[in-house]
Amino acid sequence: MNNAVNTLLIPVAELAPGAVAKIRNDVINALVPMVSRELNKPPEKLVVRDIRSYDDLYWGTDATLTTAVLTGNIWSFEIDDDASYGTFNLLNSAAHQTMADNRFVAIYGVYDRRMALATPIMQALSELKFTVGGNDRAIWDLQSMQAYPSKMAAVTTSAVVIPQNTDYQIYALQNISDDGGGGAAQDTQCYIMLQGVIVEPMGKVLSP
Amino acid sequence: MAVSNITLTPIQEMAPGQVTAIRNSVIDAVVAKASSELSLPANKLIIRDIRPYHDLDFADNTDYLTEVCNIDTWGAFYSGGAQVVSPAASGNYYDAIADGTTMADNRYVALYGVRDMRVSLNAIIAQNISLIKFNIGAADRIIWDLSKCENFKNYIAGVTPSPVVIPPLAPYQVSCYLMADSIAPYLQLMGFVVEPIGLLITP
Repeated sequence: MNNAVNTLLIPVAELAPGAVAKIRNDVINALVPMVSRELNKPPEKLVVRDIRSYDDLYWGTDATLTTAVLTGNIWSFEIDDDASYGTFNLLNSAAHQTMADNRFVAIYGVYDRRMALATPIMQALSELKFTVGGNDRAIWDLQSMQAYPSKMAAVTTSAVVIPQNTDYQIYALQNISDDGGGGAAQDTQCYIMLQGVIVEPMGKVLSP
Repeated sequence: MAVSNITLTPIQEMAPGQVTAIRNSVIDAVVAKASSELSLPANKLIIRDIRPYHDLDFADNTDYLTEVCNIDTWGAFYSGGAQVVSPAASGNYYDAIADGTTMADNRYVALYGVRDMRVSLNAIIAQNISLIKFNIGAADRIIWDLSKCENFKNYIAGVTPSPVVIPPLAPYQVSCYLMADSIAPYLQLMGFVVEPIGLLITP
């Protein structure tokens, strides 16, 4: 086993049973001690919870990629026209690029939920890029999931961690123009969702 | 057994965990090769997803698509122009990479399988590609038969334990055997890039 940094996004359909759970647990088990040390709080005073797309990450708040910026905790949004086509565009706007105090986010994969629609649509995003603290941390190829329509999700062993008070940008590369390639003047929808966890002090949002 | 086994095996014919075992063994081999040839310790290298256009120049040839694809998508999901192939004559190999392309300096690309992405379309179309040929450094290295994977709807993918490795500065070509005219080919190569940390990504 080598010690090179492995940032590959791997479809869950290509993993052995239990591998996703192991990755998730490894991420949590790495993040909790880090947060405990940095916040000087014992693990029993921390909570590991789901990500709220807007309140925690400000997903879909930049106007270039979205037809109407999101203002609530919804992962799906309408993708704007060709102005955003073919390049990386921000998912979190310039006003929302610093992680909250006492909050740590780990992102270790993606879900593509469009196959659960009554009429599945094309996936309009081909790549995601994560920049944390001024460095490009990962570029994920979302198309690796496309061969597995009944299990469209993927994970990585190298989670992207966004520490408290740190600048972060999440970018998406749109590969289909506004009409979805169909010729009609209609925007496509994004049904990508990030897999990850929040670790923060108990009581900040939740008191289980 | 010293024979070179370059067969493409459908992942549905493999035991649980075998795809991961193949991926990890390919990663170990390519990282060791890159570390040795670049004279860098493994912890100064990164393994990352392939960017189809910026790393491979895939679908940047009008042999393969009627209009070149110059963004990072595996070709047919591109809608900047006509997506369908229009071969002069079906039943031939057509080049998917721009003629004369060489791999970037300090960059290794390993390819160990293929995925068929058309099954995630709303209206599933026929697969237009049967064979995939890799020419590295002016030698034909491998021919894979994608057709054998098509028995397994929802999991149309195949892998090989003998990857194609494209080293820095090497000329290469990926050619697809197209069976019919005017059908978009939905194909993704499974693989990864190994390169020094900081060349593109600084995790």
